[in-house]
Amino acid sequence: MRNEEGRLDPGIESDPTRLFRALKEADPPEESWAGFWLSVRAGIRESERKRRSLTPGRALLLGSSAGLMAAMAVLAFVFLVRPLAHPPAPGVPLPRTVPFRALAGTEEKAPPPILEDLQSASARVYTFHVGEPADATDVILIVDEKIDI
Amino acid sequence: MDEGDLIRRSQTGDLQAFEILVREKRNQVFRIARQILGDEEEAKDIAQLVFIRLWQTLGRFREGGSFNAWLHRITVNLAIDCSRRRQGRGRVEAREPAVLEGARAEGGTSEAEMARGEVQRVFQELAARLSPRQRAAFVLREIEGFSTEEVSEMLGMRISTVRNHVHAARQSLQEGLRRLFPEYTRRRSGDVS
Repeated sequence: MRNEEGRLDPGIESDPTRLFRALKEADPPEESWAGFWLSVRAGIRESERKRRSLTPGRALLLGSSAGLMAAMAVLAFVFLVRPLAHPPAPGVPLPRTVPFRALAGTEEKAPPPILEDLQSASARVYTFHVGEPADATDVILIVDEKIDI
Repeated sequence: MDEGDLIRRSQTGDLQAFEILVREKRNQVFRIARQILGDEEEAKDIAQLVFIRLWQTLGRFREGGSFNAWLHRITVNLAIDCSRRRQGRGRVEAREPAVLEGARAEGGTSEAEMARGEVQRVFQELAARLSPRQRAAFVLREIEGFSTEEVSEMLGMRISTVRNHVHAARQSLQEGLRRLFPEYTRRRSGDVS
């Protein structure tokens, strides 16, 4: 990386990778790995304990929940998202719409409780306001393509 | 015992064999995670997760496949996830490499270590402008020296996409070096290439 005068190899002018290739040699000192294997082993045991505690009954329940979520997502897409994407033909009266704010009422409501503490950066939460103002309800969909069930 | 034996024994639940495998691979896993994340502590945490995930999925690894590709696909995916989560929380300043901190605390360090620390800082600053996938492609291809085909397998991308990422990363780093660190690119009389 350096020549006899202590200067960096000037060949990096044409190819910067020549400079950064030196990083392959930058291993941490051996003593910095102390305790690493113990942590890995503890993590393995913890994951195996969790896997064993997932009885066939609970696994079935989780599988059913995933199926239910998928069905809800399809229904929400068919009944809520698609109609919005296809405006009615000219001459067809528009359905009565409820202003977004009206659903929340005139008073400020307390925020809904946290249903799920999302740890995943790829998770998305969709909230659909459904129904007339009198019996409006929120349908909350949590979608995570990387979810590991 | 060779790598194939260690993998086979680990697949049958032999933790001692897996420990040897971890010892053999941990430096490379750490280096890749560090260059993608730019932070040693986070890279160490990711390395732990990589080996836990490896243990959980090793049963699905088929003999004849590339173990490095399997292992580093896990490494890159976890490091990129971590990098994206961090971007969501705001940028974290990279810490000085531990090798330099330790050496300075002891009152000295070798020329080679100092130079590597310098290069590490330059890389972290310039690579921060790359996308996580460009950065991963550059690290695997240009720093770790894997073939384009291997990188394509590790990143789950077409070979042409890997080439494009590496090319874009190289251009960005080159431009950054010339603009921000001209002392590394200026050719001086008396220098040996």
